[in-house]
Amino acid sequence: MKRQILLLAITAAALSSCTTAYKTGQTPDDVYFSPTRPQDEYVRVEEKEEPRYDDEYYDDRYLRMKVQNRTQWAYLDDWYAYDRYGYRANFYYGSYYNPYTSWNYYYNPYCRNNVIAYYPVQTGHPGTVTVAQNVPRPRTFNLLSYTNTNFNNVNSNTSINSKSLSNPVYNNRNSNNGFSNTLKQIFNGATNSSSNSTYSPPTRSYSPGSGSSGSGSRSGSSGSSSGGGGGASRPSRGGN
Amino acid sequence: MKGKIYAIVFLLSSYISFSQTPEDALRLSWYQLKGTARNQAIGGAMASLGGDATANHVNPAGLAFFKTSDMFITPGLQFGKNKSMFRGTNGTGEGQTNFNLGTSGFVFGGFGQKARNSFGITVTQQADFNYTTYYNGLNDYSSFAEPLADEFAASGMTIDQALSYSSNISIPTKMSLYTYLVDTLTINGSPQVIARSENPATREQTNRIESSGGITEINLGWGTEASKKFMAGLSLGINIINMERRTYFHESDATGNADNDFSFLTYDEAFKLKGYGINFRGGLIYRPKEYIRLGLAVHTPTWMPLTETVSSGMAADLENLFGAGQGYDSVGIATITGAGDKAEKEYQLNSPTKIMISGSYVFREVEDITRQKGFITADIEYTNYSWMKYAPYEGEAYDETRADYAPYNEAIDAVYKGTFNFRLGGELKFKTIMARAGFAYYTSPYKDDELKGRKMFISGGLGYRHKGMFIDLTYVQRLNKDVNFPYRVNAPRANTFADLKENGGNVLLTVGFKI
Repeated sequence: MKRQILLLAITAAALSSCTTAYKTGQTPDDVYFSPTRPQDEYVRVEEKEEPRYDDEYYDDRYLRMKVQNRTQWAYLDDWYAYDRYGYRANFYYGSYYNPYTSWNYYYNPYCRNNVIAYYPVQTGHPGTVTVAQNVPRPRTFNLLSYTNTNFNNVNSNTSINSKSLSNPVYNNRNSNNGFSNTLKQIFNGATNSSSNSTYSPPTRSYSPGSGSSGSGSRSGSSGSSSGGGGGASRPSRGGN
Repeated sequence: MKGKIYAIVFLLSSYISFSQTPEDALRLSWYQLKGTARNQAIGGAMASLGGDATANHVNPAGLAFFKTSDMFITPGLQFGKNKSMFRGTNGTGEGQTNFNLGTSGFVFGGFGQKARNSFGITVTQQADFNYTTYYNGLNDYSSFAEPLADEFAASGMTIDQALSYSSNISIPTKMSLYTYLVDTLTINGSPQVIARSENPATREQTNRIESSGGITEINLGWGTEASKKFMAGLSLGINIINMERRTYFHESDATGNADNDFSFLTYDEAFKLKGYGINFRGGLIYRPKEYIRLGLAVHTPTWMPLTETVSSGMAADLENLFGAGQGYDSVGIATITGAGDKAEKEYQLNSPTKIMISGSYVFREVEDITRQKGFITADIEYTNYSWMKYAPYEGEAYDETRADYAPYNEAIDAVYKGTFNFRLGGELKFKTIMARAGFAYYTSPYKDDELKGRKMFISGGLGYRHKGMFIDLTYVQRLNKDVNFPYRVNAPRANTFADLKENGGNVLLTVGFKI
């Protein structure tokens, strides 16, 4: 923040040192009307263009000299006629020293033609390599969860109140209760008894596809995984 | 052969990961166009008014009003606080204050034949992602682990298969399997997938999101006065995108039962999105007669090649499931992916096209500033957020197709809709002093009426213009609403979400000079 303020101060100082042509008189407001810029009070002389030393220039100069004295410049006739082209006769092939058009362009780093590109995978091209791709997805995504317009934003248990929010309950480990008994019954394969609460968590069947390892039931409390090659292994955790 | 080996190494050292969501697409597309202090004071309306540098990225035809040249800078200070309502419980996020940059740069006016051409180069921080969202409440209906258990159950895989590096199971689901939060269990003789956080009848859920970054846009624009009545313009926008977000979700047993195999779970995610974007803006302004200006502007989508980096971790305490005091375990992304502490992905996102029509009444368009009395101006903008599209990144060497992104685009189509947005403002001018007021309203992008989203801005400001210098000071009050889903579940189960209110202010100061 301090750095930003300093930057701002420096910028403001730089701006305030600017000169403007509108120190006196009205300052135009371009939203309403923008006059053309104030004109200089002296005659503006167009700057002469730099001469271009091209064929046309040399042709003109040759003609001017010949008009002035037809014989005096005769010894330059050959040069103006063809020598001047001859000196750059190799321009089609480029100068040996010109990195952009050199004969040795194949090895020349400035030449585009010798860029060696390698595309590791291109479907349909000869030599395509098919590799099982690693696909970690940082989030769950299911289109059906976005097309789902059922909303539940109200707790059904009216006894819930916000007071309990101020005391994180995960630190209060009372040994009380019917729910664990229910869970133990589940572990023991007993009938899933219902509590008085209207709460009913969703049920999901576990049906791994054929050929899978370790299909079938799995004890929730034994906690170990064979962790076959190429994957994370669940840590073995001793249970009851 | 050597080439093939290179190809294999290249692929194994990279990841294809899909974490882009419709919500992130909206964050990069649903924001108010920013501008100079003068423009923000009049609600941001600039599609027909012209003569302000904001025209460079709203309707570049407005640059044609410049026959003189300006240089200017617009620092700003934004502050605010999020309030939330989650399942009947109110919450408040931490206050946030940060520096931002309104439209700054140069406009060069009066070039070419009859001084009809103008050019602008401006920099504007268009979107500001600096905010903290916090909500907390009791939930007796669903758990964060429900979609994770659903994903695993639907996969048809064993736990070992799901945890293998090559499986397409999402990282949070793998983490929930690793920590035994999601598990399999034989109930009544039939194997089932369970989420242990669903054991208690009620959970306390807390979601805290700390976000930073923004979208800075550089605009190169040209405006020309085709005739006294017609102006046209075109600009190129280059976006620099930087979004960082830390999400911390905590869910704990609210029943007080210490022997139901669930005490709490925590999911922590660090998300970074970087990239750039390119767009074009074009427009026309028609002056049928003095006082009246009518504008039309079209903004192409911003084509954004983006690089996303995600790092995450999960912890779960399952109480006495593995013996007294042995229930806690945690896992990081490196264990799950087997390589590196983050997953990276490149993809492309296209924001939606925008179309604007506008009208202004300017009293009066004369050179003598003592006779310039003021103006009113209004824009109506149409855009459709279902036009946002994810696509594979063209320069990437993955074998991806648009079909891979189809579910994400279908989700965008399912959730978002077309909206009309409104901007209205006016100015009263007293020779060198100006007073301004404005209002802007961006309607909800959500198809479902239950999801309340809007952006509303009320603004006012003062201006001073004299001796070749101009100073504008503006205050903009934000009154925004939005929703946040901590997780999403499949029908027929119901989703839960938090209602968010973001109230805050933005102070902008433009200092500029006629050059």
